[in-house]
Amino acid sequence: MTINRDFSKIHISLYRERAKETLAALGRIGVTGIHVEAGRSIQLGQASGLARLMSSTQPISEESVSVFTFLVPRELERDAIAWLVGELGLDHPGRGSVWATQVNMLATHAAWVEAKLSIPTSSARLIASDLTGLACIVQKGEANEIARIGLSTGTAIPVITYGIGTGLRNRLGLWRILVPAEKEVATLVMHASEAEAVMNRMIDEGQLDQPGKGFIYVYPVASGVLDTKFHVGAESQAASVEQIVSTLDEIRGSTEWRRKSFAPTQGSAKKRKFLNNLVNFSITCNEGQVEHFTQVAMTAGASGATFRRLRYLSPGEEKSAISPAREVSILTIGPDKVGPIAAALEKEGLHEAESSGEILISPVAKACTFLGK
Amino acid sequence: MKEAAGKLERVHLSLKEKVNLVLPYVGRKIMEQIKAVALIVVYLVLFQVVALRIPIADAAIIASGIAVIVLGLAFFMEGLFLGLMPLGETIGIRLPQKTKLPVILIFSFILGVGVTFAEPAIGVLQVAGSFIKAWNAPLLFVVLNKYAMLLKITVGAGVGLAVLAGMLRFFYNWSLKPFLYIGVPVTMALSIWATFEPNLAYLSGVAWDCGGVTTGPVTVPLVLALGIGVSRMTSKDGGEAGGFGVVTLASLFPIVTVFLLGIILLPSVPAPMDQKAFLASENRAKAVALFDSEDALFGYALRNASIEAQSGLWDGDKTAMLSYVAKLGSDEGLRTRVLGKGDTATLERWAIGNGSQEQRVAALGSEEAVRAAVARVDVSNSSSLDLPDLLARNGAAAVQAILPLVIFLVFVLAVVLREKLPHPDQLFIGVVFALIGMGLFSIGIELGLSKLGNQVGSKLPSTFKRIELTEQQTTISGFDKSIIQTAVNPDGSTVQFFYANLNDAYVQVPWDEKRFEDSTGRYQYVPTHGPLYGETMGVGGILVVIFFAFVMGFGATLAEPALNALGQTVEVLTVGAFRKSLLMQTVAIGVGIGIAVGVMKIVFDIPLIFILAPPYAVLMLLTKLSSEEFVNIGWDSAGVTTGPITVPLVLAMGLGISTQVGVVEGFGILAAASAFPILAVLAVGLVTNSKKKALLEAAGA
Repeated sequence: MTINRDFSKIHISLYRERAKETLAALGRIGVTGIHVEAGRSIQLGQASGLARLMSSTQPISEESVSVFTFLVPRELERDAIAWLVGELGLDHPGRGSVWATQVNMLATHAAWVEAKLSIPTSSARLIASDLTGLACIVQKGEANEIARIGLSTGTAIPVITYGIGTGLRNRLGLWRILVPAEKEVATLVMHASEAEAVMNRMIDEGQLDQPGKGFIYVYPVASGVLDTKFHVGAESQAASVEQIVSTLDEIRGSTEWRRKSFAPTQGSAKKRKFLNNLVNFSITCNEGQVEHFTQVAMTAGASGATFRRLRYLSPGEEKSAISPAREVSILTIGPDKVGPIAAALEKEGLHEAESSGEILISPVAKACTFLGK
Repeated sequence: MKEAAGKLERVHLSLKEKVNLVLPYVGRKIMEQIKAVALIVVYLVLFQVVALRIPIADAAIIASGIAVIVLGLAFFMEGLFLGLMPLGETIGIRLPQKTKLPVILIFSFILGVGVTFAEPAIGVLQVAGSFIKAWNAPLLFVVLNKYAMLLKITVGAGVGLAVLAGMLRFFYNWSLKPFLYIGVPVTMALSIWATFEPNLAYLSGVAWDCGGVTTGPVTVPLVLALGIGVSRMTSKDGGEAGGFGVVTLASLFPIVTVFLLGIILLPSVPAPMDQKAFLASENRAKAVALFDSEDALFGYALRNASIEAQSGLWDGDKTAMLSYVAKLGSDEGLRTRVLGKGDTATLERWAIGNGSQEQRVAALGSEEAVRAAVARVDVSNSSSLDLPDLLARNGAAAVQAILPLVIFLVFVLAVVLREKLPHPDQLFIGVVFALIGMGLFSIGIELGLSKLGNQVGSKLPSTFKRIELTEQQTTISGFDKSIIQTAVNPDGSTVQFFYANLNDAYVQVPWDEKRFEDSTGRYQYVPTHGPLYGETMGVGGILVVIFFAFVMGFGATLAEPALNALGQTVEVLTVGAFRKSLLMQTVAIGVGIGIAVGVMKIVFDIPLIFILAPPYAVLMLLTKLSSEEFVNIGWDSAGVTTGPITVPLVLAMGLGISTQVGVVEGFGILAAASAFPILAVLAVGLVTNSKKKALLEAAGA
């Protein structure tokens, strides 16, 4: 069922212990069709005892987080964020982040109904615009070291989720089991002006422009309130840095003052080829079928994808037609391929009840991976 | 983005590319397993050579056995992750989608029963049963022998009910805690009550072991994957990492069902008594009830009871006995009923191996016949390495453990759920890997780790007392008593000794009259060893043993495949926030402590209930305080600790110590080994949660 309508996709990321209260809050304003993904956030920790002597780098503290995503009409985006910030206390450092990207719902299944939101007016909140999201897909086990750059530069608190990569691997027959498919996807949301420098550093750190190393891209984020608690551990000052930051944000009325300029790193000085003006083509459907549809998309022109597992929850509905176990496949492709792929998927039955599939399109500003010689 | 857009053609690899893919992959997998078993192997070797100062016997066989374990584990784990676990999870997800609850419950029950029958370790209990004497523990004897099948069914029913209850939990999002609050006190109460009823007391060891045995390396990953699949479909909130808890129930429920079986059978069996009373005619009816027939009772008594006690079968009438034995010699039908086989070889083996001189003559007809038979029959059990037998036995066990389950699951998926198999090629190779791995792994354990464990275990008491090294026994023929010398003690008493030249070393050997055979002039010299650390039963030596037990438990646990699979699952579900290494080390520390405590139980002969009750009482409290997630993971990790690596090592050590210390049974170490890892995991969970709480509270200011 073709829809072709623009929405705002809201992302909330917070400690897993707060998942229940978040779900309840979303239920109160009538949100349905929520996807939840399990992830871990990393923050800078404190070295103690022997570890302090042994290692020069600050250790990383890992915590389980839940990432909630759902769609709201564009015009309600800021109201929804403002209400959620108040309701979940996201303006306090360490309580989580919320941000919104703009997406186009190309097509969905017949059971889809638009949620009827009733968002109470809440007091004016300081909501940043001019943000950029950065996603970095690397081999499992390597995300911490690359995502750490977000922490050490004080730009973003990374959230890492698991994914399964496909592409060349799927065409090797049974030999594929020799190629590890497990990936980690690090997501960092930061001020737009900082994204380029962070991206370059991450490419250097992870050698992402070398073959088989990974894939990184940045995409526009329309608005959001981001967590500023970059490290955990005992405080030794009258006020923590993040408290000072959030107070200054309030006084200044914006986060613009936090812009920093990065000294260009050596590696980023060299000319690097980027891919521009791509889109993310995301297929969300019931568990167990995403691989098949991705294969269909790949024969229609996509070259690789990452699958992630989601849980589908719909607080208002008693018995949902959609399976609680869902998967999403994200393909980064040229805009010209959207039409043919969508048509091929529709023909293959993506939107039928069995799969209850949905296609969302969102812009990708810039991407980098190994481009061949 | 790669240039390889377009159609999804098969990419064909050149031989060189294939080699380039295979080598690092194989290297990685082997390295992982080398790391897993390195600690326990290096430790056992070092301990025996350095701490016990005894060279390792059969070092070449043991080394190759350990290499086979590494290979087997690498194959097995890969088989789990490629084949068995994806299959389990797929079914878990599809079941709630495609069928109704009753179907799922029936499936769960069948799976639980099937898993029990498949688990090779359940056979170990039956082997143990052959060592039990009917008069010592009649109930245990009858359960492990005559009613062995009934025992299997009972355990299977327990596991089946456990999987069923586990699925109900996932469907209705029930907490695991009430099951523990009820289940643990019930099993404890049964165990305490059992200590007052001698027959049940012997059974309680087996009851607890059955719980541990069923949660093996095939069952645990399968049940976990299934649970995770189901709870992905049924969990109602966005947070909890569900799917755990079934393993816990599967180790609790069989304890209860086995006790119930015991209680039902109890009135029909005699109380434990000595051989003579057992075989006396007053007790005949009850004694026969333990066997299939009266003839079988006679056969058992002839083989296992002392000659004096045997006479009770004929009310002390010796002529009646001899005429019975003579009839045994002539009547093939009677022979078949009594000794199991009718051929004369069986008769000769019994007569030479067990019979008295009078019985031999009566059975075989004449003294000449007896002498001829003595020359012919070799009653000793040869223990040479029988490779084809080893391969056949372990191969069959692996096939039995894996294939029926896989066939059942594939049947359910394809026929009941009408789903296509996901990645059949991958699944197939996974199952093949699991089979190869399981086979190699059990061979390796038998050849390498058990042997090594037995050596260390039997020598371990030499740290605190003098033990005899029977395998180094030497016969000195033509011994001349005149070389015996006398030495004086500080108090003036004297001891006798002599010098011997053994392997070019001059050794002082204490003279022992009993070891000298006057008629042949032979002296049997058995070297002794220890006490190595301090005096007999000294604190130093016992501390060494306890330390050994701790590290052994720690090292063996890190190599356990089922715990590895559990750790991996926890890591994936928490997206790396709860690392596999943290879970495994926490559990390993717990097992180490548990085994150390268990050893103290044997050395100081502390009743089992004192070892179990306090930790379980603390556990109940910690369970109350802990989050649901940690309760599930913690209790489940206890179920997986008693696996194929830990069990033989612990049993070898327990047996070694208990025979040297003179305690009857070595049971209890395993039970203690499963209480402490739960404590460890819950403690870590409480610390983690309080940190997190502090984080959340700091943020909420």
